[in-house]
Amino acid sequence: MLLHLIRKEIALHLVSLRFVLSVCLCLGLVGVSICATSARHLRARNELAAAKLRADERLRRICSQPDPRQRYSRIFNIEGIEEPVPLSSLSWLSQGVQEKYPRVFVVRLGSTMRLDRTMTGNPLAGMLRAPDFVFVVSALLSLLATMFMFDAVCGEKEDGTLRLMLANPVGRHQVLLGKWLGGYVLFVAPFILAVLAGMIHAGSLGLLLPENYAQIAVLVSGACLYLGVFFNLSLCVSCLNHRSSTSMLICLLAWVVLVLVVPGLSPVTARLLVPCDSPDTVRRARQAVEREFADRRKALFHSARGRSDRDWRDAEAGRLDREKKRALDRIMLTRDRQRFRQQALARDLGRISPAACWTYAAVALAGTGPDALARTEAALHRLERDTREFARDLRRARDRSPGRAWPDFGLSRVPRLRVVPASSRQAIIRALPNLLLLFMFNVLFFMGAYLRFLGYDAR
Amino acid sequence: MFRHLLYKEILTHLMSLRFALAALLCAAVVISGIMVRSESFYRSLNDYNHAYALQTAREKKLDHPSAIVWNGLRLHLKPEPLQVFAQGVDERRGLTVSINAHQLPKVLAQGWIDPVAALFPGMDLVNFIGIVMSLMAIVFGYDTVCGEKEDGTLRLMLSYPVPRDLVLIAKWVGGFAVLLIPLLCAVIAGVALVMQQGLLTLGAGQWWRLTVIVGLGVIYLAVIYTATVWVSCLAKRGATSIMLLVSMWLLMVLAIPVLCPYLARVLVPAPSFVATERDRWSLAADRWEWEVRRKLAEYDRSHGFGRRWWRAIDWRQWNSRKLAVERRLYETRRLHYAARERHRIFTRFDRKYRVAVAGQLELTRWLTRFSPFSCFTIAAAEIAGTGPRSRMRFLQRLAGHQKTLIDYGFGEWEKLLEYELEHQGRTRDWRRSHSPIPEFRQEPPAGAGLMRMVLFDVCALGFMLATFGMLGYLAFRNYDVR
Repeated sequence: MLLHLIRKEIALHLVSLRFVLSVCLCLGLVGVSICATSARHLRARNELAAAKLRADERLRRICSQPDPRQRYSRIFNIEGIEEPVPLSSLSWLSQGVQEKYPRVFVVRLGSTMRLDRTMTGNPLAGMLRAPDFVFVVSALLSLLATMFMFDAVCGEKEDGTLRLMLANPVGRHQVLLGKWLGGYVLFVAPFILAVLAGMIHAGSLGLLLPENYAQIAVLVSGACLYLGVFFNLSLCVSCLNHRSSTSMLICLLAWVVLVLVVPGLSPVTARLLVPCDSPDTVRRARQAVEREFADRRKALFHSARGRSDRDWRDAEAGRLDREKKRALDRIMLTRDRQRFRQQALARDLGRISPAACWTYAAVALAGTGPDALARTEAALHRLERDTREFARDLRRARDRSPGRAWPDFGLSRVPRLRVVPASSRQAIIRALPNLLLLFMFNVLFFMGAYLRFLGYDAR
Repeated sequence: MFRHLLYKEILTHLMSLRFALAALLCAAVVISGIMVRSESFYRSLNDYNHAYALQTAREKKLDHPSAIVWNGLRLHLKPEPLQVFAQGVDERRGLTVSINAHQLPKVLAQGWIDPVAALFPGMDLVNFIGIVMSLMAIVFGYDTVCGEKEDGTLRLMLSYPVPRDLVLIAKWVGGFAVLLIPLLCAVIAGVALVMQQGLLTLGAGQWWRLTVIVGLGVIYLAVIYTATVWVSCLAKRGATSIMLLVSMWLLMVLAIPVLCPYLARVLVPAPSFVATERDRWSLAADRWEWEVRRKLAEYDRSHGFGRRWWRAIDWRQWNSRKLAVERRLYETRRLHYAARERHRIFTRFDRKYRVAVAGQLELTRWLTRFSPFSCFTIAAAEIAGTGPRSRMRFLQRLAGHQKTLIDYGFGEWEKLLEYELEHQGRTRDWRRSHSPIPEFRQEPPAGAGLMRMVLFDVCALGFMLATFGMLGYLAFRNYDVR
């Protein structure tokens, strides 16, 4: 019987306008999106390689200078170590936070410049979200999925066919399952086709790497799971209402709230609930600490004026410096903790929405999410530390050498930016909680639809 | 009769679930959005004021113009208050640019990025009207005609002596007015709240611009509502109408505006930025080599200057030092000339690159003009001073400002050396006597310039409104109410 019901659902959808529209939009949007973003990724990859080459060549030119002192001052004080920020190999599927991140770091002693090249391209590209696969699934296909099922039950009731169907010896669970399976298979089939076509195109451009197969497979499965959430949600709403116009209205509102409003409001709400010190406040706190220690230092030197014990004064000054550094570090640590708490709350609040869960899972799989950003930041901090230490070693070696001659050093010893990307396994493990949440949403909405349909008045 | 029809339409909508939901959404998203964005603007304004004060203090401490030439200055651009309502092409509020005489101006990125906010950028008023309210307009109007037909009330209504055009106009005006009520109330409440809390202060011109932005939003919603009424006149069933409308909405609001810039990049490829930069630098380095190093070497040769000569100078004796100062003046003039040449080369290459990007921009704008959403958002962003053309103007002005700084820095440096030569080695304290450092001024376009920027988009919206209105009227005249 279930098979008959599924066949009926498929036949019903196959001849409907919504199926034709869904297929056209699905194929068109997914295909155009993958073509556009893969072409862009290819270009960005080539640009990155050229930028890296240029930076290497510049460093090599500096290191080939005969005078090590000039080498030192050009690398550490004047020009700095220029490092283009690497791209994720799957950023053509999900841009994530990469678009907002600086393109180049220039690390000098005591200062790091973060350069932004977003001002140089087509400005309209930055006005809305990037049309990557994640956006197409998250905003466009989810709406189509919602529109596919909003009148699955109440529409049949309005037409009078539900009453007729339930007059036959068929279980209600079978009817609901038949509706769900028939509709879902018919909706997901063109989507999978479109994704396959897109992957073939990406493969022909050399963007499909064997080490990414697992991530891509999980990403596409996650997309199906996410679309299933909206499928089940509209089915549930359809079982809750008796008129398809009301059902459509609620479905659209739910879509707007879950996809557009909740994810956007989550960082804002987190900012209100867990306030973080503004840069101005942090600056003032640091200035206050610096002023306080400057006064203490002055007082120390004043009190030591009459004494001949200079070692005591220097030791006290050193202690003060260490104390000041600790106080400044404490301020920064407090700010970092506040930021971390705020971020975590924003992430958790956003998880009320399946769209946010899907985006978090997708960016974790594509290596363009907060985790990747943290890895790049960690690599930058490592580079800053290595630069400081290397410069200090060079200065010490100069101080130790007779005649204060600068030690010789080559390109191989200059510290470089090394970002360690997450492995396939790590990426999947990071995405798993969000995928599980999507699964839970599916179960929840389907259970809601089932329970409601059991008592549904078909008259 | 028209009044009766209008009254009936307004009452029907006011008592419907959709009005309650629209009011709820507008109140929650618009008011909270305006408040949060204003608060963030207030913070960035504080940061800007602090950075500007620091920069002014730093400029006062400068003791020689060479610092401007080599180390350069930092320009802090004031955040635009209207960005609260129309974020435009850049979500950062205010910018910091590092500018000197020998490199391209560098736009500094934000120090810290909130990854969650970067993944889900909040919705400004323009995007709210463009995305959410347009969907609400569809929800309000998808069954204007076909819904009444399904209920059987249309047949009854048309059995009275009432012309069809009057029925359609009453439906349109009634539905549209009810759609606007929650939006306008929420905007007024949001703006009043932030003004009362002192988070946002708008000048007379900015008030006018904000009014124009909201007015454009109303025209945009009118376009969407009219198209909805037209589709409702074409379809016989509400379900068909909504499916068609949602598909159209997906294409017009989410797909075309997002995909077109990327398609334009593929259709009009701009030269690679890195390759442009590489060519630019190699040409600039050659010119530098020629203008500075070789000319200086020639000068040294012709005047018999060498390492030994430099060592032999007695810096305390003016007669001995004079030749060195003359040489330094010559070197500064060569550097000045070379920096201007380098700037010319940079600008030439930049122009080539920018022409390609401008081509992409124009193509994108033409492609996206099929979408009323793009016409509205781009025009609103231009009016707020945050649109794509405003950015192009800003980049051009930045290049012009760099040239001014080069002339100023080297000019002041040359004047110092000339003074030293004229006054027998007496030097002047530059910090006290220099002319004011040129300031970067960025004024948003106004008047005729602004009109030119947005005229086409506004006309496109007007054209769409008229077309959909006519189509709706024609479709309703022949509508089969049975």
